[in-house]
Amino acid sequence: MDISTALAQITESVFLATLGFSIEHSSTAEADAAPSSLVGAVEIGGAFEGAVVVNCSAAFARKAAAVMFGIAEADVDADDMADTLGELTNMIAGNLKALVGSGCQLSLPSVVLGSLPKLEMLGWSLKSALPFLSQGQPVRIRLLAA
Amino acid sequence: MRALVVDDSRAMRVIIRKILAGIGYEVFEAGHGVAALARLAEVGATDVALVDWNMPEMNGFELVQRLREQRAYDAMRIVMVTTEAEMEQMMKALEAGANDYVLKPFTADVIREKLSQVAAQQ
Repeated sequence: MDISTALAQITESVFLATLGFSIEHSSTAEADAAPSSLVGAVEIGGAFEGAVVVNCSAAFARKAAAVMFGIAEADVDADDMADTLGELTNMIAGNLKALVGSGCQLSLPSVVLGSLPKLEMLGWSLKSALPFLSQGQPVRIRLLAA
Repeated sequence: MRALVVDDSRAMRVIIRKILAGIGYEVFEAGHGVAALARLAEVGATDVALVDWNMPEMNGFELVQRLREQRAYDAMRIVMVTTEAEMEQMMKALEAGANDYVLKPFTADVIREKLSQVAAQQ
């Protein structure tokens, strides 16, 4: 199985089991054109060096946080959205880590809120990019690696 | 029955707390290993601890080691709840004194089943 297929399967499993959200594959252009208000990143270090980066809209993060915290969307705050995206990114990276090499370590999740078009890791290149829609909102998963 | 949930994600603590409360557990929470030790010093040993691996301050593996150094926590069942899906790391946690593990993402049924299994080990 190639890394993109594995990443897609892991993402689908994490979203469905944790949020009850399905995912639909989307066009790259559609996801790239969508406003990205939150970026979550978890680095994998060791035999494999890379990072899983998840971009999503605030609307998606709000819906996801409402499910995870069991509260109304109107009651979700920025901390709830950041915590939720961090944990989702952590789960995707953690499951991917098992496939890319033994003895690797995960960083703690980093989450940035704001109108950010992209988060780049200097010196690393894009290994996989998965644009999709969930709950009608664009979400983009990228794997960057040395 | 009392449980301690140790995870740096508030969302994950909420999810696990709801599952445990639904089967009658009194639940305490901590955001990392250092906070967990402090919480246990306040409330005493719990029947079970569900511990994330990757946390700031003190990670889950170090917490398991610290708990197993103290006789007061000998009877406490420890379940790692983690994305660290590598078998090598799970074996390391089990050797350090964890009783079992659950991989994220999980369902409520998996948590309930795992708690039944570790309770039966007592």
